[in-house]
Amino acid sequence: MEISTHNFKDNARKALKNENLQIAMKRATKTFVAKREKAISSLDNFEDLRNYCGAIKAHTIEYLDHYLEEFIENLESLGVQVHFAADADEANKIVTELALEKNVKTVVKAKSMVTEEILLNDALEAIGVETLETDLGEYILQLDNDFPSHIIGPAMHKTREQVTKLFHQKLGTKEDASIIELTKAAREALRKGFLKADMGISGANFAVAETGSIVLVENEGNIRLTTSQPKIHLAIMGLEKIIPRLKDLSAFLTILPRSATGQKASSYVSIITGPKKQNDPDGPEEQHVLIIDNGRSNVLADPKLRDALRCIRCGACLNICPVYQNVGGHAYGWVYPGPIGSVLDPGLLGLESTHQLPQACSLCGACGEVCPVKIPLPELLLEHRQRAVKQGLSAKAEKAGIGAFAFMATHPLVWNSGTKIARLGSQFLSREGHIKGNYIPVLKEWLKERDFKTPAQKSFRELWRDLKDEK
Amino acid sequence: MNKANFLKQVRSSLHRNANDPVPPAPNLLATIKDFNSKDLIAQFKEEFEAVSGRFFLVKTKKEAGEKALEIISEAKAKSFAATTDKLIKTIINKIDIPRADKISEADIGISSAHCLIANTGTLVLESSVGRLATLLPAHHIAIVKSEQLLPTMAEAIEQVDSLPSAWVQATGPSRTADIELTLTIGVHAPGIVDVIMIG
Repeated sequence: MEISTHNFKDNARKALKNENLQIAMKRATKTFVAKREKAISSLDNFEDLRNYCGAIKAHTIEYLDHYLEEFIENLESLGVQVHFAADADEANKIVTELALEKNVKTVVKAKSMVTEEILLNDALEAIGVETLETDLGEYILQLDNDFPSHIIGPAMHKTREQVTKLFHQKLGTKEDASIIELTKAAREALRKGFLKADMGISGANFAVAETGSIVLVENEGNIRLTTSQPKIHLAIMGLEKIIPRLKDLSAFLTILPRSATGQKASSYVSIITGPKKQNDPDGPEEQHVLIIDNGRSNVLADPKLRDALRCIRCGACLNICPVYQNVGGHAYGWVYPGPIGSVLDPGLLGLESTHQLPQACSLCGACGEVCPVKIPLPELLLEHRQRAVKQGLSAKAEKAGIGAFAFMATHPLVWNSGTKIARLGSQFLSREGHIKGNYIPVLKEWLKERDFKTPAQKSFRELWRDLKDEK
Repeated sequence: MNKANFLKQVRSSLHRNANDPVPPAPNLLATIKDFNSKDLIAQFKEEFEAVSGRFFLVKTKKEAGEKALEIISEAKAKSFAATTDKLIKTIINKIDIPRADKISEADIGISSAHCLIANTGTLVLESSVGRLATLLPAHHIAIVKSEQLLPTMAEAIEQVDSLPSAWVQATGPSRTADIELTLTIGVHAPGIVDVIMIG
């Protein structure tokens, strides 16, 4: 997808007017939030687990060089070929060269956010390699030339009616096909792809340093197929996916599915350790792991933002966020939307093109409360806002307004007379109890995203005085 | 980028040197284990059925074989695939439908399990007996023993000496909720999963 993080305000405005999106978002986020709450409340030690998983991730990131090296050495001793990419271009070059070298005609892909980040599908299609997304949500998006709007429910911005129509056009299913029939049609279409694919590309939910294992979590079985059927398996991962030990996994696998989909356990967890062993009846003969930086070491070098790299991509902060619930993922303009995107995107892409994202937040704090690895999201959002102001990235009119406010607030005489004039003046701008500031340049911009109630005619102090006089 | 430069970049971002000490990672909390686990068979049954698995408890291996035949005939399966698990060897010899030439053509896949996790209703499948027989067919039958039950994932992982190339924790049938979060069973992997437990 083309990056449009600088355009959040316009994107969000369009999203609020998109009827299908509004229907889909209401249906989906409500379900996600309720399911998560139920699954979390069935655990009596969720806080302990959050503390533990947060601490493990924080520790791993603090000593990431050590754990990465351990992980890489273990991969190499398993016979896995390990590749490294500083950025998206290098990553795509490595994958396309590998595909050409191995004479790959068809690739099956499991859902992976990092491959969305680097636009891998475009790079593979450009060298003539057929690339099939096999996660149902991703497959829907690929058929529609669309891109994900949610970390774990990539097509959740689409209504069932839209998917039914799309499948009717592209796969020839009935005009009124049920969700079961749609799913069956996708299974049949993709099964052919699995059986002919020469290479399977997956992401990684976790990478275990101690064993050199890639851990993948899913419900559909497409990841098992991607990593089992083709003769080459390539796992692509961001450098922050490491956890130290195998035994740490059970804590992460207890909180991840509960936080993500509200399940006690995902249907399949695959712990992949090296390619097929000599006596294994089946499995890939070759395994490759590509580790990608793409801006992450910048985040790592920033001690305040580093915590954002703990993220295990559960999506809980998206679902609970009142802004995300209303505007959906596309408005954020890149692969990582919602609160975590508003924290991570400025780290990965730079604040200049992304400073609108941390502004799209009411500071309600819900994201920080649900995060299973205790990323201090509200604090990091504020940190970005402060930096944006310091770097002079905030809107000029807003800056002038805040300057005027600061002057008034520190000068009582100006404040008293000023607020009185404002109260009186605002009555003229008021329509149905709200201020319409279309004629005033500074207010116009500010009021575009905000409802501002007409102030009462008298201030609290004045009312108090009157009340005392009456007595 | 080569490995040395990649690691150098990470190290310099963290202001660390190659041989700087690393303190031990925080330790696992005892509370993540489920110590008050009740009857493991009952717990497995409850959790496995909650994710739409079908559970059958039998007394002997012979009964397990009979149950498998019954399921196969009810399913009107034409051919089967199987893993190389020892436990099922004699059972599959008695199956009255042919073994599929290709696993992808089989209607039913038969296996045992490496172990079972009671508190989530999970089958642990591992690659040394084959991956595709439990993956490609739309219907999976697992024949297991109650002694293979472990209370939680923590115990299952603890007892591993060396990891197989693929260790898969399978919990119920394949599912998706990618269209409006509506649960749909049976996407790419088996949509029907039966466990026949000898216990």
